[in-house]
Order: sequence, then structure tokens, then C-alpha cells
Amino acid sequence: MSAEYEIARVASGVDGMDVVLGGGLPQRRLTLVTGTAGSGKTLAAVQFLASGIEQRGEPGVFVTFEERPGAIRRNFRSFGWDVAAWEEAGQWSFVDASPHVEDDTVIAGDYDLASLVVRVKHAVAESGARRVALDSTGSLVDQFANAVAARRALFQVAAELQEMGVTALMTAERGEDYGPITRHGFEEFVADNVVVLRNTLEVEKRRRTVEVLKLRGGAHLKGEQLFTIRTGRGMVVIPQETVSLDYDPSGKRLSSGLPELDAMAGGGYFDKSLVLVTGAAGTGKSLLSTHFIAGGASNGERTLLHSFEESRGQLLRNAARWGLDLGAMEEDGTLRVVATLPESASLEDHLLAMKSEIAEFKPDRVAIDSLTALQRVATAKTFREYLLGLSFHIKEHAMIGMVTAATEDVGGGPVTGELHLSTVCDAIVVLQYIARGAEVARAIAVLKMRGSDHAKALREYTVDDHGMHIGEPLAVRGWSRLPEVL
Amino acid sequence: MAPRMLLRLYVVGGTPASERALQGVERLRAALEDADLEVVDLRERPDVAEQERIVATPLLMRVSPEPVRRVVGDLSDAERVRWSLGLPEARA
Repeated sequence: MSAEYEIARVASGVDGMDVVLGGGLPQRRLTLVTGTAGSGKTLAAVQFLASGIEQRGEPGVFVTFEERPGAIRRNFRSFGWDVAAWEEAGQWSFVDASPHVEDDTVIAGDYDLASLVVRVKHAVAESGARRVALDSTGSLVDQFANAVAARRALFQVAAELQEMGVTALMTAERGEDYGPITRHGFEEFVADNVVVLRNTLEVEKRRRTVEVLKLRGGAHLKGEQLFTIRTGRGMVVIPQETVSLDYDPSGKRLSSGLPELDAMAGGGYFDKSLVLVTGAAGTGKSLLSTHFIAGGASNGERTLLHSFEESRGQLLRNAARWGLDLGAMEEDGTLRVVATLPESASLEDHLLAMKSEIAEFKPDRVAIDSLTALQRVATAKTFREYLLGLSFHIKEHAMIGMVTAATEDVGGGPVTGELHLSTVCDAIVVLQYIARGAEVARAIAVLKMRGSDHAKALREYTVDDHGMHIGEPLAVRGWSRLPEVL
Repeated sequence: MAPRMLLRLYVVGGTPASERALQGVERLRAALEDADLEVVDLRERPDVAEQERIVATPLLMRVSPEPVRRVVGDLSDAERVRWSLGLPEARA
């Protein structure tokens, strides 16, 4: 795109949204935000003005067609926004075009809504506003049962706002999350840009997404991006950072914590990679991630361990049985353990919490034990988006990540396919039970190593009070149920 | 003697409906004989538009006697306007 067509952008005030918009809201343009009831339209409009005031000291005008100013002042206090105080300081002005029963009016003949245009212009001029929010057009149409007048007035308002050089956000209703862009079908022609908010229930899980449908003359991320609503922060978008697919792995290798496993992987795990450890219950996934932590610590690398299955105490006790002292690593600052119940929050919130832990602790390694526990609280689609976001974030801010996942089948099942893990992860280590005659033992194999030649052989391993010990490659006779070995 | 009625016509000058209302008031003249009539062009008084929360114009408001009554439209339906504002029948 040549520079003359580049449109200047202003920060949307929504965390993560500017990435999706390709830099922010187009300056001096009108952006339409549409969504079903309860999708977060009014919040988006209020947050747009609030962030302008808080972050840039830009006054704003809020044109309300639906909620009374009093309701808006009250309802958004919990987000930390004191609209009344901003009004007093001259930073926030209302144009109240909401229906008032006491203004009961008889209609006798033709009319127009030119007064609305007059009021918006006046409010912008009086306050020196740089931002204007209009919420929501459907209520204006319903109030007057006159779509022609409403449409004409909104076109005029849009033209005046552009003339005055303000950046504007206008909301509109839609009937369904996947249907016509707006209920009245004209708003998308008033605006230069269209953003869709969705709020769907999928297998009993709430799923909120934002999608940029149209952005005149600007690059932006395509598709639905997850967002969440947080007290004190408002909307927070979690962009699906697809850039991760173009990741250029450095040739640098990192220790798995086990010299034999490093050898199997061709010299260790790659820097900037996400390693998946999969296996049935009891095969040693937590053990392998404990070695991963110790391997980092022995090199002075810091690890953030996010546990969704076991408490901190349990983790420390288990590690002690394998001769690994996680408590000492916590003390010398090479380890931080965060234990969380998967059900305590949505996946979006878990990811946000993890991002802030990463920002604060600045780990070299991130370990998550386990994804299976997290999968219980999300839909397949949300889970995949979470994984992509997680993978990108770890590679961006740390050296390497390790995630574990359980297979239901003791012989090792198709877990990787179901969880969409295999395409996201750069390396896969499989742990599994093997049958040797009547005896059951455990074995390990490196199934996938992106960008590397490695030994795919299955090796038996044992566990004692010094942790895992990996043996020689096994000769496998068959893979019927449990691999039969000679 | 009862106080005179006060009517106020709010218009946005230049728009077809408001221009028609200014003419329509003429048609109501007979009925308005006992009333004071003020005309406010909101382009000149946007602060009044905000204060009175006016969205649709032309708007004819019976300010007194109370209760306040509002009629929106170009006043082309004189009968309806009279009825809505409680104005007397036009004298023949």
C-alpha cells in the first residue's frame, strides 16, 4: 500500500484491539460497531471515549439514543470510569436523545431530525471533542418509527463529524450473530469501517469475539478474535497472532533436563519452540516437565510453571520423590509456580493472567501442566485460538514452552489430532505404556521435531529417586494395542 | 381572566419541514389569536435544543398553561394540531 492511501490511526483504547485493526481506529472516520443484544456495543462506545480522556486527554461527546445519561454514569463505575467527574471537568458531554416518557409527543405531519445534527455539532464545538460515540442507531429508528428520517439524520451527522475532523464510533443492533450486518440495513453504508461483536453460546460456553468486516483503505487482521470483559479494564481483545506460523527457529538448542532425551532430539529442544508432551495417565508427563524446569535452572534459566492439575504443595512433593528440589529453585528465583483451578476462569482470562505473569516474571521457559484440564472449560474453537495465542506469546516473550496433554487410551490415542495440538506444537514427545509379555513398562519417543533430523526410536525408561532414566532403543514388534516389544 | 396561552415553535431553518411549519402557523392564525407565539430557530440557539432535548423538528410546544404539550410535524394537519394543543375551533 502506498503511503498516500495510508490512513492515520488513533488508539481504540481496547487492549489488543489495535493489533486487530492494524494499528487503531482510522482517524477522522466513522467506524460502525454492530452486534446482537448483550454483545458489548455500549461498552465499546463508552470505552472509546474513556480511553481518549484517560490516555490522551481528548474530550469526547457521547450521543445516546437508548440509555439515559444517568444509567451510563452509574453502569460504568465498576470499570473505573467516573463519567460524572469527566463531565464536570468538561471532558465528557452527553447529547441525550434517549426517549423520555414525559416528553410525550403527538406527530402531526412531516418532520426531520435536523435538530440532532445541530446538537451534535454544538456539543463538539463547545467541548473541543476529538472523539464522538453514538449509541445506538436502532433505538433512534424505533423511537420515531421513521427509518427515512433517522437514516437521513445519521448520514448528515456522519458528514458533519468528518467535516469537523473527529474520530467517531457508532453502534447498531443486529438480529443474529450470523446474519445481516444490521437490523435496519443502512448503517453499514453510513460508516467507512465495520466491526462486528459476537456473543454466542457454544456447548454451554460463552464465546465473545470481535471481527473487522470492513476497513476502508487499511490492513487489518481477518476473522473472529476472542475478547473478554474485565472489571476495571473493560473489553480486552486476544488477537490470534497467526504470525507465529512464519516463525524462524534459531538453530540454538536448549536442554530438556535429560542428556539422553537431548540426544534423541538431535541435541536438545529448539529455541523458540513449543514442545508437547503427551501420554496416558501415569506415564510421567509431570515428571518430564519437572526435568524441563530443572534443565533450565541448571543453566540459570528461569521457568514459569502454570499448573492446572496439582497444587503447589503436591508438585513440590512429587518433585522431591524424584530428587528434584523445586522449593530451592523458587527460592533462588529460577522458578515461579502458579497453580490455578481450570474452572476458576474462562480460557481467555487464563491466557491474560498468564501473559501478565510472563510480563512480570520474565521467564526463559514456560511450562503448562496440563492442557487437558484446560480443555474441559472451553469449546474446541476457543481452545484452538487459545493455543495459537499461547504459542505465539511464549515464543515472543520467552525462549521455549512446554505443554502436557493426556491421552485417554493407555496405548496412546489420537489426542494430538483432537486438540489441534500437532499443528501448533513444534516438537512432540510421546510417553506410553508398553507390553513385554505379561509385564507392562513405560517408553518414550520423540515423534516430531520441526526443522530437524532426529531419532524416532522408542526407548524404555525407568523412574527412581533421581528421576527418569532412558534406556536403549527398543525393537518394536507391533502396535496393536500396547506396542509389543521383544 | 385566564392567562394567555404561550406557544413556542422550534424549527431548524432551511429544512423543508420547518419551512412548511412556518407557513402552517399562518393557517392556524385564527385559532392562535388568543395565544402568544414565539419562534425559535435552533440553528441560532443549539443550547436550547440541548436543554429541551429536541431531536425532531418542527416542534410546536404549548408552554402554558400546563401541562406542556408537544406536537411534532409540519402542521399540515391543522385539525390534529388544534386538538392536540387544546386550541379553540377556527372561527368561520
